[in-house]
Amino acid sequence: MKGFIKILEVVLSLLLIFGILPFFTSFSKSNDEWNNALLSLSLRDILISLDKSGILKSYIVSGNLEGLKNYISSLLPGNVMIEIYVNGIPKNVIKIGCNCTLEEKIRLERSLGIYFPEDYTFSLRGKIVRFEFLNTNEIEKMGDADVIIFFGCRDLSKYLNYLNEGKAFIMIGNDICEEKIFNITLKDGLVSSYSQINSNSLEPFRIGEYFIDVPIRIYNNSNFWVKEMSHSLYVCIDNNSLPCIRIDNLPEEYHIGDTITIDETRIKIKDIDADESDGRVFSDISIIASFIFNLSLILSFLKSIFSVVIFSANIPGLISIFSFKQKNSSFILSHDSKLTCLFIPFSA
Amino acid sequence: MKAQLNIDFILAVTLFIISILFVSYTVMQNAFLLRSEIDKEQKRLIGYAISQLIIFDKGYPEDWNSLDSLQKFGLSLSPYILSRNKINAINNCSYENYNKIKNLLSLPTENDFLLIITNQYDETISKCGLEHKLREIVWIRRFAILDGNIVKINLGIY
Repeated sequence: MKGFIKILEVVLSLLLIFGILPFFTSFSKSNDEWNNALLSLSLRDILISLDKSGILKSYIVSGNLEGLKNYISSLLPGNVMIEIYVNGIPKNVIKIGCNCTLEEKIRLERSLGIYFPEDYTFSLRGKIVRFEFLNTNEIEKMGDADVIIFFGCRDLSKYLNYLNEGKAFIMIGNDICEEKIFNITLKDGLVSSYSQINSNSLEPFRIGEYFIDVPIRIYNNSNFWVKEMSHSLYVCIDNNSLPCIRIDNLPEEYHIGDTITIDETRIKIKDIDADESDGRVFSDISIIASFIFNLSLILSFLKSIFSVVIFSANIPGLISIFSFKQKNSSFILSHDSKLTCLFIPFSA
Repeated sequence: MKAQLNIDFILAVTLFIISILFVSYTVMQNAFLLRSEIDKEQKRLIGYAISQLIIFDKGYPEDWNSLDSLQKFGLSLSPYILSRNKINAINNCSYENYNKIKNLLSLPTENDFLLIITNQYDETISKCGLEHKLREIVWIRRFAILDGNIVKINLGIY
């Protein structure tokens, strides 16, 4: 019995000793953590350097992700493998299915600033994007579309699967739909209700950033809206035979590159085409990014310019992100990384 | 008094001694490794701090192009963009210039550094520092832009 107790004591001692051993060996983990930290540091350096040198933009704009991957791999040690995903950029070709009449399609083309075939292709932050219309107006045949556009309220419950495929639906109209579209109840609210939309807690919904520098084509003698105020735009030729624009029949003339402040919103004139020979006279304008990103300002701008309902969902269950009602128009905007630049001006 | 020892007792003592020896050996071994690890950690921290200076600091005077006038070390024109003149100025630095840079970096006396800037294909653009064959080196690798191209900044601390 005495011997058994001694053996028991030894076993207990051994258990204690081996129990504290991990404390002596735990430091080996720090080496792994340093390696991870240094690798993260290297990758951060590479991305910042690529961005600052313009190399990143050239790869992204040309869509050459394989080239970008090879470039980054060449800078890293051979035993490091990388995968690259780029989110938040528009597709090279945005296929539009318009569930509409011929008149509505013409209205849509003018709204998008693509009334003329030359306008189907445009530059968005250096990336060439092209709109393409599908040759059908039946939703059932719009399987290839990235976005399906329709005018007025309708029941779309049959097409819920399109949302799951990443397609977007855009409703253009001034009415608040009484019925639930896709079983979603529209929510009324003010811009201030969504002031937190860019907060960290809603990181995936940093949609406001997509509206900066997006060119909006306004054809000659058309209206555009800033902060709920309508303004008219006329394309002109100045005394030096340079193309210019005038706003609201005022005498001031503005040229390409000028920045105008309209209703406390800074707007840049990106392009003017005053050549009337092809009947295509327009000006491209855009909101300018400010150093302090003022989301409410941008939302006000958008709210007044666009009167659309967009349904889109990459994530099932997350269909509408925010909505608000202004005057007789309703607006729901949902962010879809595949569709970032399709907005419908109310002025159509 | 009984002179005969119980076999259980002998076994217990033997196991105990073996355990003590094993633990002592492990502790001693780890003590050396820990010492080496602490040394490495210090070198990494020094290396990281210097690499930050290289990438983010212009030095003083800001437009220095010769080590003679240098009062504060830094190789950049702006964050992540290196200056060709500054990199040329430190290339193949002499022992005196190395010591001057070492002093400006406030590097501890017992430590030395080796800075090698290479292009994407590991061709050396600039090199400055001391090499020790017997002392352990810790490398910090950073990336920045030089003349529009990405370069590797390999900083070794001895």
